[in-house]
Amino acid sequence: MDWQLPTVVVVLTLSLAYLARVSWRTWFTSSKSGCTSGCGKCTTPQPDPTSINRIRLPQV
Amino acid sequence: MFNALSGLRQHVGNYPGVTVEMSKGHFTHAGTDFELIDLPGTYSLAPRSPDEMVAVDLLLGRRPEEQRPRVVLSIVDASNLDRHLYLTTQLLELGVPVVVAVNMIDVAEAQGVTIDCARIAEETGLRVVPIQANRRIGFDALKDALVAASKDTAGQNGPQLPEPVEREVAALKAELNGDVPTFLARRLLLDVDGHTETWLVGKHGLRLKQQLTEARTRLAAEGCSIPGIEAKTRYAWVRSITAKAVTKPATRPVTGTDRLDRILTHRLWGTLIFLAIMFGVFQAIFVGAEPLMGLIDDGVSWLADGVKEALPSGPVRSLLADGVIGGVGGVLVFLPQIVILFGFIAVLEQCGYMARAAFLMDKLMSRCGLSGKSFIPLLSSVACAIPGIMATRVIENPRDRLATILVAPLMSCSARLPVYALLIGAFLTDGFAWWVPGVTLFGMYMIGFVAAPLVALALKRTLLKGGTPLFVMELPAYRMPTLLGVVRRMADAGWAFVRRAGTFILASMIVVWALLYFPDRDAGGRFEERVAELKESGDDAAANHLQAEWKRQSVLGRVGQALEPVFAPLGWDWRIGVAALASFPAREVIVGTLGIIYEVGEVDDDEGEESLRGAIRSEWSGDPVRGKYPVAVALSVMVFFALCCQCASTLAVIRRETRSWAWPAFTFVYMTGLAYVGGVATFQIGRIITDMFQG
Repeated sequence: MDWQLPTVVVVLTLSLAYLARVSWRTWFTSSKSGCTSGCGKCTTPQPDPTSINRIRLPQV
Repeated sequence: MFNALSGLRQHVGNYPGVTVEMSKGHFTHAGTDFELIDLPGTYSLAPRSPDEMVAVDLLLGRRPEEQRPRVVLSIVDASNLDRHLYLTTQLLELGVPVVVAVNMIDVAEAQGVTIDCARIAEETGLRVVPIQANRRIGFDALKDALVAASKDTAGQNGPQLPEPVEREVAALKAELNGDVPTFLARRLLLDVDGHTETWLVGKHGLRLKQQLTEARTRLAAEGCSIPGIEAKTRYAWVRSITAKAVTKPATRPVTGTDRLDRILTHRLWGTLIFLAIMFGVFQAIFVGAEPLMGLIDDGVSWLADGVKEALPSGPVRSLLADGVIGGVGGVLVFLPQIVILFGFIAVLEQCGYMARAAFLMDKLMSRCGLSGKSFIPLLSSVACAIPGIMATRVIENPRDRLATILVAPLMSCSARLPVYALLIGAFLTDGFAWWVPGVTLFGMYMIGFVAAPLVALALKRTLLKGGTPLFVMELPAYRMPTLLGVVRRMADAGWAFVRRAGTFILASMIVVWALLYFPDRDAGGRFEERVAELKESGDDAAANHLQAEWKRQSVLGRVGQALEPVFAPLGWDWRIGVAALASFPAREVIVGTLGIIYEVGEVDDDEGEESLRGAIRSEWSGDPVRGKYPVAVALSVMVFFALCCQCASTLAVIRRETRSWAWPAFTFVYMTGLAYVGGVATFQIGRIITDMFQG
């Protein structure tokens, strides 16, 4: 039991950090995929210029 | 075509709007490396929207991040050569070498049309190659032509507009101080109220608008009315070529496509067939997925049991068995249904039927102030609202585009499917006729199909008032879907679902598990140890009671109980309520959350089914409300999910596409309100009907 609680705390912290990062990238920055689905079929407006498959389109 | 040349996977459909993004690929032929850019499908280079302008800018070399293309490959449909060569005549004005690929030669031959590509090449000076893209026929010759064209230093000549028109173009270009190339100066003159005019008048002022009006008036007086003169000139040139190179039968033969379209585009029969096809798809999703879902369920249970045996009692064991395996596994069970859904979508797209669906829906959409062009993004939203929202970029009218964006999340996306499948599987299969699950699933999707136009109508009459746009679309010939294309689409969708489950859903489930696990003790000691002791002593009832008490005292349990008065009109208890709340970032989370709450594997129903469905049935049967009205509660949950915007990513894309925080906020508020009202109405009406039948 002694090792279990710290382990869970670490895992939980990493999960929260991951969710925070994904939320930040979804709302405030560009990323290679447009959402958390990971399908890669759409992009957010300013992708990495070196990304091989996407060219950004202007916003209306 | 793009896939065939570059080997890159790319979603391809035969209705407008689906290639709204540009993609790159690479291939090498005869020692020459080619970078291939696939531009949005269009019939002309007269840009009417920023989306089309990007393609024009790229062809003119005006995109700062892209160099100008060395060769333009113009793909024309052999069965509609006259219309498609119109675009080719505009490409010839760019001054870049053009290669023409005459595609679907087989379709033209089936219509009795013979095309002499060598004669077209001789008359135009272009390299013209017949191909059949779906079977990769003619690709070697096409690549040879591209290699040869890449060595050309200039483009070929096309039709020349009358001298008065070119004189006015030169005057306008001088007026703009040479700011724009001749091609754009020509588009400025020819495209009345087009994007080029809007952009340049905005930049140079109303004096330019006046000059344009005067120029067009002078041309009209000289018999060169704008915009008609462009179409006359180009089509005259095209017809002079095709008259020498194309032979058609005197009477166009009736093709299989024509015969099918008589029925499939019929106002009544076509609509009924569309509804029947949709029902068939949903029924097949249920029937076809069952065996595989059972296998995954068994695998998840086996894994959870293994972890429980291998690890000592404590939070890590619970995290792995209940949070990770129970939570994520509960979502992964629905992988077969997702894959089957996307398989059907791929078949309907590739065969050409989706374009007919857009045509059928045009009449309904126009009554709601939109056009069939809005139906295409809405149909895309059945897979995922995000590409559907991005596909609205082809809608020129900004109000229509915004209305479509705001209602796209109402279409039941694939993320809602696990929720529907879980509750329908739990409460609307055993004891019901074979068609009930399919009809219920169909009904859930129809909620979106009905709600979206109605909300759009309300928006077009209030916040977004405007006329109904015209919709012009070419119906492509029906084609047999390719097995490879369908399988690729299913694999892509399946992998995306698994990847999401293994990342975002996994992280969410860990957080939800923690909120339902802690605090893990009270004055009597650790709940987990006391539950295990009671089970070992054979007192399962007391163990279950303590387990339920533990969940109630958890962080999420307390939040849920505090909010229970809000959930009560929907027929929900705190457990369903917190599961719904936890699913606001991503819908699928409710399935995993219910899996943790109902402790899948711990609760058996009468048939000994240790699945989440069985767990829910068993738990609800002992509840005074859920036990008496299980179908009404299940339907209320499904209706809530059908109408609620529980996808942060969708709201983020709405923010980007509208460049405003107000519209995603508006979307969230109106959809949550609509979902709540819909859920309450469903439960209350269901409760009344149940009482009537039981009374």
